[in-house]
Amino acid sequence: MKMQKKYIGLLFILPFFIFYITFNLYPVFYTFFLSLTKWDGFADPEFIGFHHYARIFTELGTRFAGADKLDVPGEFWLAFINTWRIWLPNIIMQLVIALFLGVIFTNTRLKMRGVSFFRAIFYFPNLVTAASVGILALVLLDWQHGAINQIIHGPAANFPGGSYPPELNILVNPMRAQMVVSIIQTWQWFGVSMILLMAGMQGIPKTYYEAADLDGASATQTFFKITLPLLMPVFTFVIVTSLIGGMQIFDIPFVFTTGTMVGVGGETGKALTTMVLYMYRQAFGLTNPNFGYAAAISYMLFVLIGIFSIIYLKMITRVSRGEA
Amino acid sequence: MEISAAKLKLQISRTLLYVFLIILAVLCIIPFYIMIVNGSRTNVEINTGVTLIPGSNIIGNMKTILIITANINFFMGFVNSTIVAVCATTLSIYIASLTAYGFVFYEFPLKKVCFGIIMASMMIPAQLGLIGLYDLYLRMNLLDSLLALILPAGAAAATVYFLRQYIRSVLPEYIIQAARIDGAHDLSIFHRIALPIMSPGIATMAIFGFVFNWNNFLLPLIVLTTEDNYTLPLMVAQLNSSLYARDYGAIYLAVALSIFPIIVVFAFLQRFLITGVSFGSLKE
Repeated sequence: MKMQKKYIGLLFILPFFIFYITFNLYPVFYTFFLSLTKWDGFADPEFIGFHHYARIFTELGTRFAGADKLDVPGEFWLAFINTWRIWLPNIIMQLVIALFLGVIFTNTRLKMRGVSFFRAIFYFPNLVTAASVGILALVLLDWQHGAINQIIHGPAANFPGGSYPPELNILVNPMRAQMVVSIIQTWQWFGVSMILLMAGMQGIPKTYYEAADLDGASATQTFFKITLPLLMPVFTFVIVTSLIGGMQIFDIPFVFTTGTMVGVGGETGKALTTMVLYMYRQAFGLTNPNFGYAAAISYMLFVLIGIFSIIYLKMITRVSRGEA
Repeated sequence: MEISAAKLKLQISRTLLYVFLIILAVLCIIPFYIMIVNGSRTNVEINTGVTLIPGSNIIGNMKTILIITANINFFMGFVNSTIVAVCATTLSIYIASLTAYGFVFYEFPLKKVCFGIIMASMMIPAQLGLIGLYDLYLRMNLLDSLLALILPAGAAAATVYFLRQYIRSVLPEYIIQAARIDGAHDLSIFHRIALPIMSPGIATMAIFGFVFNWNNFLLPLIVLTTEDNYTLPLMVAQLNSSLYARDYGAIYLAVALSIFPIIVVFAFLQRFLITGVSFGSLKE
């Protein structure tokens, strides 16, 4: 017997929708309107149509037309490439580690102990404030005073002049700096992926593995023929949520490229400018803020995330159909 | 003979795997341990190399933090972060509980559409409406206020989704019907019967909400302009400035202080957190 008065239920969900429309839906639509304007945050927005989007697409042309002109405009696409260079190695490392851990923790022959202990330890880095992780990484990686060089190369006193030579300054190299952020992301997220994949693996009926065992299947065969295909829904969930989050990476690149202490500027600063960081700087980092353009960047990012999610989902359905 | 050989092989691979797991666990913990150790050492000591034994300069580093931050006040950051995290979490879980309860126990027009909107909103990147939200706060005169960080928590779609699943698994409809027959009002059934039964699920979501709001960075960065209003992550991010240059002990200690509440939450409530994470991947 449900309520006869059919509007009482609406009252229960009303507060949520008031907050949702005011602080979420309305800003999302208004951001789109602003992306069609020129607005500096002070004067009234001036309607200019799809100018900002045209700029981004023109830059796409100039960026990829001549390989020798890689430093010209195309700032948005540079940020796009940077974001992928940080996200892609991270998701690959994360999934390899998480799958491996999931398999050994759920394997019935190995019967590993301390699973919940390790699971908790691996999950911990995910909880820590990204801004704090960024600063901690900077001081640990500081090439003269940081713990990482001290562990790898011994104390600075061992070197001529009592200081490390410049080639040990890892963050000066743009590619290495991107890799450092990638590794930090992996370190923060492999535990979460592992918990999710393990939950998926525990849902696979034991009888499948028993049957494979009877048929004399090797561990590798079992993994590729049983575990991986049956894990696809969870696997997809992990990849798509990581894509949505990873394309929006901001906190650590921001901390790495702001301030003076460690002096991560110049080429490294450019290499760590991700899409959301670029958007942020266009709106809040310029003396003449460019809110309209920043809003257009937000929408481009949204569309790109959508496109990549769809491409991935299409790929997955094709692969699983091929196997069936 | 063959059986014992297989057993030996299993034992060897198990040992190797434990070594690997321990190395991985050390990698997860060691940065924080070095942080705590170096937070208690002087600059000179830090430059001599890494050690696992804490130093004795923790008071000195604490003084440096207090002096450097004399007009920023690092501890004001604690107060601000606590206000934001507690208020935002309370708001989000109360409204999400109401909403989830409404979806499970009532029929109403456009119910499917409303739930579809909630599902869809979980897939939308958080940064999408940021510029529009800034404009809204500008016009509502909410910029540079903590309220601006609390209000958006009223629409926590993922929490609604989780609690809806949770209610379905722990709260049978006959309990609600019995209360209705007894003549209880809708809202009092929710408060007196549903909320207590839902409390373990609510606790899980409250922990996630607290951690999420405590760690939130981009929105406070955009909204807050006065340093007295800064939340802790904003103050931590400022440690990378010339003001702190060359005082590594103080920086380590400040970072350690900023994540202390997270360590406490983890130490006591990690069971809830891990259950909550694994729930994320389970479909209806």
